[in-house]
Amino acid sequence: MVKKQLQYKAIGLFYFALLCIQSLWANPLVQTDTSKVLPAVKVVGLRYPNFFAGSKFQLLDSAILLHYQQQSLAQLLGNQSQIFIKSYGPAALATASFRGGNANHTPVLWNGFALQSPLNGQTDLALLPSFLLEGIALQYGSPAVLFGSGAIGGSIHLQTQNKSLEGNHLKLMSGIGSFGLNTLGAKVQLQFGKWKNNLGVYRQQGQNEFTFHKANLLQPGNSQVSPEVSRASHANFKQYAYLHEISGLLGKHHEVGLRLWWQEAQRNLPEFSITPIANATQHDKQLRLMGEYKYKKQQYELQSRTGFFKDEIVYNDLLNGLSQTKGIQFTQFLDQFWHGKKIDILLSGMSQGLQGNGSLFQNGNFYTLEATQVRNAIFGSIKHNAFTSKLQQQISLRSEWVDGKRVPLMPSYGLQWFIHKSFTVLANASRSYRLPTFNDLYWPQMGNPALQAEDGMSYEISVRNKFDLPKSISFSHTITAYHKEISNWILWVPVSGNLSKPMNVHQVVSKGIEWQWQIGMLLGKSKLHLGGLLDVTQATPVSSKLGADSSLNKQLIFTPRIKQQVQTGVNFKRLAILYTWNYVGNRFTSSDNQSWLAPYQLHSLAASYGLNLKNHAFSLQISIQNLLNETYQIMVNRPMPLRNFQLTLQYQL
Amino acid sequence: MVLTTARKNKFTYLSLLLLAGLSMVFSACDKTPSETPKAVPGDSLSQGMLIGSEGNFQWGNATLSFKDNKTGTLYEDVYRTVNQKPLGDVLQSMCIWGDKIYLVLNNSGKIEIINKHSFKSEGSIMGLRSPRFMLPINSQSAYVSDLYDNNLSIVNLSTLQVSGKIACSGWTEEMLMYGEKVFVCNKYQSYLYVIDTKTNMLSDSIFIGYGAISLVLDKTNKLWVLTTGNATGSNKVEAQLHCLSLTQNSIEKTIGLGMGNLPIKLVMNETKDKLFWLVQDIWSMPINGSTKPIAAFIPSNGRTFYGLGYDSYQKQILITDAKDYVQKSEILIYDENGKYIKSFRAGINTSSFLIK
Repeated sequence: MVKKQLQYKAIGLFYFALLCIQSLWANPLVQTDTSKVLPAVKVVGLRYPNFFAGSKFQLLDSAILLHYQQQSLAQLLGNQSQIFIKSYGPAALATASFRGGNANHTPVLWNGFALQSPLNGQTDLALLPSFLLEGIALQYGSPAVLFGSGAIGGSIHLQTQNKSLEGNHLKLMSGIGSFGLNTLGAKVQLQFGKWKNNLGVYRQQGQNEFTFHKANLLQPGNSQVSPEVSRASHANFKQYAYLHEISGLLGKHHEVGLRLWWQEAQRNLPEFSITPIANATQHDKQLRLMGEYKYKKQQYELQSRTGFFKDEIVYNDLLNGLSQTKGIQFTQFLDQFWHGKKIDILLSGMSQGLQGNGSLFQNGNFYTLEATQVRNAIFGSIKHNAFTSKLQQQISLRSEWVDGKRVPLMPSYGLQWFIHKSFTVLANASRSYRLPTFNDLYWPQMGNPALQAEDGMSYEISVRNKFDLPKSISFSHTITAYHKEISNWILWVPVSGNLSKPMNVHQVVSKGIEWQWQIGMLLGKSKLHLGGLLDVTQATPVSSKLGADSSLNKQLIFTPRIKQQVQTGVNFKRLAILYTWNYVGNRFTSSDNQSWLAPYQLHSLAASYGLNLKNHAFSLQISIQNLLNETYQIMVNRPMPLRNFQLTLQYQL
Repeated sequence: MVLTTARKNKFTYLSLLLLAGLSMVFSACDKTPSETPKAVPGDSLSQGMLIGSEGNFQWGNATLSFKDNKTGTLYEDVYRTVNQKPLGDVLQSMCIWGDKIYLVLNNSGKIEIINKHSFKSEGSIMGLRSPRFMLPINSQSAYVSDLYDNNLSIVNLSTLQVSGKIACSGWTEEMLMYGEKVFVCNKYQSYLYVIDTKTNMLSDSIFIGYGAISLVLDKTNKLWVLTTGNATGSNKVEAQLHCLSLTQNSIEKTIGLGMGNLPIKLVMNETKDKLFWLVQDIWSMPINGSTKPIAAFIPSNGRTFYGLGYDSYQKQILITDAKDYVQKSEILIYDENGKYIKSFRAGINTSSFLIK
C-alpha cells in the first residue's frame, strides 16, 4: 500500500515538474482520453478509411464534443487540437492553420466532400456548430492524393451521423452563455427497419457584447492594456442550421443515402480601431446536398456519390456598399474497392464543376466576377498488408485535369508498422498541390489568371509508444517529425497604390515536431486522465521572387513556433470535469520578423453532470473559458473575450 | 520498494523526463528580436528626411522615421521613441507648417501634431472621418481631404477643431494652393475642383479625364495633374498626365499613360522642370514634353514600388519598395539621372516623405 502511494507520488511529482515547465499557473490534475491518436483503420466518419496507412490522426469524439455543445468548431479545435485557429473574435471569421500552412491548405471535409468556397478557398469554422457533429477526425499531413487540391497541411473530417447508433433517439439541447448567448438544438433519429432518418436543427443567437480590455499588444514595445473593461458593440449574430440525413439498405448489397445541410448566419461585424464607423454586416448562406449509393458484394465495393454545394456571402457596409459572392460546386465521385486478405485496392474517379460569381464595390466602382472551372481526376491506392496486417504499406497516385490542363501526377507512399504491441511506426511521403482560388485568379483589377498551382512534397514519421505502468496506469505518446516543401507559394503583393495582386512568390519549407502524450489511471471509482500536446513549427520561405526579400528564412506571419496544451480530467460516477490549458507562442506579424504578438495562455474548465431516469437521460454542462481573464489577441487589434461561461442542459431519450 | 519499482520502469521514466526536458528546450526557442530603440539626441532632428510608413490597415502600426542628413543616422519609429506611445493607424501623409509637423492618420481619423524640432507631441485634430491630406491655407486654417466624407474639412489650427466643411462628393486627395485658389484632386470624379479660399466655397471644376490623385506646380506656374483613369466603367478612360493653365483653369495638354495603368504619385525636381511619376515603374519627362516616354526611367524589375518622393536638398529621387506589405519597406535612393545611390529599410508600407 505504501509502495503504491509512493508510486503515485513519484508520478505526481514528475507531472508537477512538467507542468511547472509548461505553465506557472497551470495546476491540472488529470487528463481526458478522448483526444486519441488512433490507427487510421479505426477512425470512423472518414472517406476511404482503409487507405490511410502512415497517416496520423487525432480523433475528437462525443466525450469531448459534450463540453462544446454551444460552441463552434473553431472554439473546439482551438482548445482541443494542435491546429492554430486564426480567429478574429467571438462569432467572427475563424480559419485553421495546420503545420505552418494557411486556411487554403486545410480542407474541411464532410463525407469526403470539401466544404471550402471556390472563391476564397476557405471554410469559416465559426459557422460550423459542434452540436451537429458526432465526431471529428483531424488528419495531419497531406492527403492530396485522395482529396485533391488544398490538402497540404492537414485536413478536418466531420462526421454528422453516428452510424453505430441503432433505434429511435431524441436529443434536445438548450443553453445560455455570457454576452447574451442563447442556443437551442435538437437531434432526432428514427429507424424504420434498415432505414435511418436523422434530423438535426440548431439555432444560436447572441448580443455578443463581449468584454475586453482595449490593448495595443503589438511588439516590440510594452503592451499597453487599458485597465478599463470595454464591451464590443455591433457584434450580435444569429445562426440557424438544419441537417437531414436519410440512409438505408436496399436488399442485401445495396445502400443509399441522402444528406442535406443548410445553414444561414447573419453577423454584425464589430469595429475596434476603425474610423469611420462602417456598420459592416455579413450574411452567410450554405446549402449542401449529397446523394450516395453503395454496392457491396464479397470483396468488391462500388460507391457513387454526388454533391451539390452552394456558398453565398453578402457583405455590406456604409462605406463601400453591398458586395455579394456566390460559389457553387457540383461534384461526382465513383469509387471502387477490392478488399483482399493482403491487398486492398481503391480506384476512383472525380468530376467536378465549379462556378463563382461576385458583384462588388471596390474603389468607388462596381465590378463583377464570373468564373467557372472543370476538374476531372482519377486516383487510386494499393495497400499491402503483411505479417497479419502488422506491416501495412500503401502506394497512391492521382492524376487531375483542370479545364483540360493536366496537373502534375501526385504520388504518395504510406507505411504503418506495428512493430510491437506497444510500439508503432507511421511514415508518409506525398506530393501535394493547391490550385489558385477564383479570387486569386479573377478578383476584379487584382486577380492573376497566370498563377501556377502551389506544389510540393511532404514527409513525416511518427513513433507511437504505448505501455501500461503498474497499478492501472497507462501511458501512450506519439512523436512526429515532418518536413514539407511547397513551391509557388501564393502571396498577395502590392502592385499599385492600394491594389495588390496574387503572385507565386515563395518556396516555403515547414518542419516541425509534434508530441502528444496521455496518461490514464484508475483511482478507486474515479478515472483520471492527463495529457498534452506540444507543437514546434518552423515555417520559412527559402526562396523568393521579390527583390531583397527580408522574409527569407524567417518564420511565416501568424504562425506560432510553439503551441502547447495540457489537459486534465476526472470522471467520477456521473460527474466529468475537464481542465484545459493552452499556450500559444509568439506570432510574428511582419514577415521580416521585426514585429510580433506576444504569447498568450488560456485556461478553461468544463464540468458535466449526468442523470438517468429510466430511458430519460439529463445532463448539465458548465464551461468557463479564459478562466484567468487573459487579455490577448490572435489577430492584430482583434480583441478576444475575457472570462465567459456557457451553461447547457441536455435531454436524451 | 519504490526504488525497485522505479528501476523496473527506468526506461519509461527516463523517456518521460527527456520529453519534459524537450518541452522546456522548445519553449526557450521561441525568441524574438531584442528591441534596442535608438535614443534621439535633441539636435539630431534638425535637418533631414521624414519617412512616413502607413503600417498595416487596422493594425495601428504606422510609424514615422527620421534620417539625419548630416550623420546619415536613421531613427526608426521616432514618434514612439520620443512620445512613448504608438502613432496610430495608416499614416497617409505629412505636412510642415511653421514649427509644426502634421501627421495625417487616415484610419485613426485624426491628425497628430508634433514639434518640428523635437518631435514632441503637441496635440491632435480629431473628428475627421477618413483624412488623406492636409493643406494649410493660412496661419489659422487648413483644408483636409477625405476618403469617405464627401467633404473637405476646414480645420482651425489654433483650436484644433473642425470649423467647417466644403462639399465635394467623392474621394478627395492631394491639394495644391496657388494664390487664393486651392486645386483639389478627386479620385472618384472626372473633375479637378477649385476652391476659393476667401469664401471657402467651390469656385470652379475642370473636366480632367477620371480620378485625379496627385498634382505639382512647375517653374512656369503650370499645374500638372495625374489621373488614374477608369478601365472598368462603361466610359473607359485611360490614365493621363495633364498640364493646366492656372490663369484660365483649362487643360493645355494631356499625355495618355495607357488603359488600365494605375499611377500613384507625381513629383517634381528641385528646379521644377522635370516630372517623375510612379506607375509600377518610375517614369520621367521634362515639362516641355508632350508624349509618354518610350521607356521607364527607373524600371521596377520585379520590385513592388509603392511610394515616390523627391529630396530637394539632396536632389535625389526617393522610391519605396513595399515588398510583401508585411515587412519593412526598402527605400531606394537614385540621383536625378536615374543612377542608383543606396537603399535602407524603414517602416511597413512606407509611402510618404517630407524633407526639412
